[in-house]
Amino acid sequence: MDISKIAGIQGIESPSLSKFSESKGPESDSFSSFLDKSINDVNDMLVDADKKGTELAVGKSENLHEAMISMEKAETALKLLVQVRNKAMDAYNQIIQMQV
Amino acid sequence: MSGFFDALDVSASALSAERLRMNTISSNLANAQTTRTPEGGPYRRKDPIFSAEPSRSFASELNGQMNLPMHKVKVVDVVSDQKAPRMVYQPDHPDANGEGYVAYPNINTMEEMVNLITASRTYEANVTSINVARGMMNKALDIGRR
Repeated sequence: MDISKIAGIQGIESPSLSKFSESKGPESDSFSSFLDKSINDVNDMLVDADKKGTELAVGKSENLHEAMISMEKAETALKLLVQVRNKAMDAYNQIIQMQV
Repeated sequence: MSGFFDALDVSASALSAERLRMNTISSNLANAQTTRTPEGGPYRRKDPIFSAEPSRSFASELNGQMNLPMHKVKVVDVVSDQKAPRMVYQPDHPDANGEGYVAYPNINTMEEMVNLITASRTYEANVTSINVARGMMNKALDIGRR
């Protein structure tokens, strides 16, 4: 997952808002599909880091620093995902606590 | 667009290159007294040649961004030193020539040690740059944290 994909978050809000007014829209633009894709991307990175760690442990690879960097990337991507999730939950809670 | 992970990739290439440099220096030091090689003659000092390669990812190719400012370092070749061997008079040595001289590799241990320290410091510098890049990413993730 590229860190530049944070920029995609801003693009998410407008389609989902316009979806409210039109009450229909392409499903691929929805926030949930973005989240889904992000989770898959982060998972891929975690799997990659895990694979490199295992290869190092069993002696298949000697790329110590590449394994470490993969793990760092995966960790950062996971942190980003958690932040996105926190923001989404914040927004949800604000809406749910709204007085009607 | 250059991402945070590009810095990590560039530094990773430098770490690989410095590791190879360290390996060649180890080989040079280990073979400082080696008089036989598969190619014949004494061991010849090895030196890696580095080249700056444009850091191209599939995404940057896709976006048509061919000339990004970042360059990865790549080991393009490991060359053998062509300096004349050091001739030492040792008539009893099995590899001595007709005049009793043995050809030893022209390796200066002091020079190799200095190169070793350079490789080690460059490695450290690149690790620091990775850690700083990671620190920046983590700081960016702290935006808006309550």
